[in-house]
Amino acid sequence: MKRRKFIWLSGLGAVAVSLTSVSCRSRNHALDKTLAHPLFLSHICDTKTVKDIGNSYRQKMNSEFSEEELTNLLLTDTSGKQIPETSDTLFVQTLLEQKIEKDFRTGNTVAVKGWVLSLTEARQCALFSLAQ
Amino acid sequence: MYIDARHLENHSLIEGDVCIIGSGAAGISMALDWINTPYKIILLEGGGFEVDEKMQDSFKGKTTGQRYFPLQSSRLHCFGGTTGHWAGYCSTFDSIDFKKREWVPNSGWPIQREDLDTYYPRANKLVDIGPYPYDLKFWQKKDSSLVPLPFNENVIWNKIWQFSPPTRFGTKYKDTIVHAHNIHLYTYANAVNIDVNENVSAVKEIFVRNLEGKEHIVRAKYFVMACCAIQNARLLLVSNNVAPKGLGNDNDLVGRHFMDHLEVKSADLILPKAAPLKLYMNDFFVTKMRAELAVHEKKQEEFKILNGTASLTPKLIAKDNIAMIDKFTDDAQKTIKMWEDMKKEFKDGKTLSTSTMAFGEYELFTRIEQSPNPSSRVYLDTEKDAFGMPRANLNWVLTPLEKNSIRKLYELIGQQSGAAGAGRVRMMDWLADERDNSWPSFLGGGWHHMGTTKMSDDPKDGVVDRNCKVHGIKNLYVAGSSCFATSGAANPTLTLIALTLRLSDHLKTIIAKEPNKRPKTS
Repeated sequence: MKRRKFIWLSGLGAVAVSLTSVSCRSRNHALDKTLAHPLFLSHICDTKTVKDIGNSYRQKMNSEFSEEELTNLLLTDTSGKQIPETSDTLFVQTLLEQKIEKDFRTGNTVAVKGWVLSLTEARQCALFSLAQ
Repeated sequence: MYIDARHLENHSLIEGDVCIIGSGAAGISMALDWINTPYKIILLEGGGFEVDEKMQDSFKGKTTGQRYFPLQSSRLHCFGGTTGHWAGYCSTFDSIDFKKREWVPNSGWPIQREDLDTYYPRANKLVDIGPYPYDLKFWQKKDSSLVPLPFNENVIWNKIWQFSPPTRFGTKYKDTIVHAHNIHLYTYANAVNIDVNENVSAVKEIFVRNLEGKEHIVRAKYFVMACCAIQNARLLLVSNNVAPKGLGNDNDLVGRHFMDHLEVKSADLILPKAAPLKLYMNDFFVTKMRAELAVHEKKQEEFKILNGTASLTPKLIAKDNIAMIDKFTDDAQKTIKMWEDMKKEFKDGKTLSTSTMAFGEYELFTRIEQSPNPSSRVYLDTEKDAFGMPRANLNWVLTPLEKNSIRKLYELIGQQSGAAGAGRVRMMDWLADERDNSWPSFLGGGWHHMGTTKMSDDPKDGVVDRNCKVHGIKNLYVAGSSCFATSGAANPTLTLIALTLRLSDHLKTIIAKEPNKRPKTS
């Protein structure tokens, strides 16, 4: 578990740098990290698996190939309302968890490389894979 | 009473009130039910008390279509039948299994689950299972550590299984049968032909043979075929002296709708933190009950899928498991030894006990019904066995419905796991592509043979009626899983025994009504 956490922290550092460098928008690094960090999956799999899931998801969903598109989709609340990019990361993390729970409960899931995932966490994986 | 038919004078005449052909789970259950009645029961067994290679050879046949177990070893041709190598898994069929489901072609029984309710407890007793309830709450009162996964029960519920020791009928009931004054057990009396009257409305007699070259005639008021699903169909098809297409086969249904349960490793459940899941664990020959994850009836209807379950095994153990279809040999003796070895390993402490240990990953293993499919069938070969009977071949055919149902089962378990924060499900590669309808090499059945004399009130739809009587033949009945119209999610033994006991009650009712016919007692 310790090794997994180390890999994740290293990976997320790269995400923060990468997303900042490619983004045209002024967003805080913490928010980038939060959006590209599928929290539950990070407890049960390594960064390579998440990256593979993300790459497969983007191949599967042609319309969701860009960082901007994925970010916009992730930054919506459970009613579909857009969340400001200046939102507090803790608030966004809570929101993502709520969205994931609702995705699973309502069947808003997608099977990627065999994983039965919430659409929200699959998009998080996709965002993560873009930065790798 | 016991008679070795090899020692009878050739062309002997054997007479009784009821003749039961076959002494497996169905045949013995029925015979036991008639002990101490005023009727003379003839119980015929083709083999002896032990598995014999020469007898097993008569079960040999070709298999085509989906890969299947060797036919000559998947059934045991001796007293006790296939209970000689069954695993003892028992659960009841669900209500939905009996219903006509528009998304499952050829589904629907003429009886309902309630029709078996009074027979299940009796069946339970025969396989040495204690309290009857297949109900989670009942077991939780006995053991509070049986905690279910936190799923919505209207989507995924916990189907309870109980485990027979497993009862080997040939061992357990031999003395009872042999010493019963009105049960006449004939070993080495292999039924080879059923002779009917000119208009094919009644059985006159049946012919039995043994490998010593002797042939005998059996006459009775009623005949009950309890030879197993493949052999029941075979015997009906070969009995074509008067009815050229075979008995009960005017509508070309005998042998069709062969079903087995699909059994295959399918997915993993990965938990964020290792946890014991005692409710779902099965330590062979130790555990008395466990739960498997099953899809709620309403969800089956919503997603138009088949009934099935997922069992959990710690990945640590499951990763080394070889698929049964890969290790099942064509040597019947070895299939018996396989279970004995497993039992010994547990007794010797060589196998890990899983019920109280915490694991982080569990393998999800599917057991799912097969949709009744007329193309999945038993048919006769041109080659004959040592008794002169054409061999029975099997063409096992699956459809995309089975695979779609398995995939949906794991999507639903995955959704429930995610919603509860319990874990994530990862389906195996063979399930990953929803456009792919192929099957992995390790897919097997449970060597549960079912459906070849399907039950239906309509002779154009089935071979036997709701009382298991062959349509059009007034004194010919079929006992066992060949009568199943659908295969359900549960293993067949408990239900086939329950159905046999129901048939037994029916026969007792009609035989008692016969006017001016004094039953023979010896």
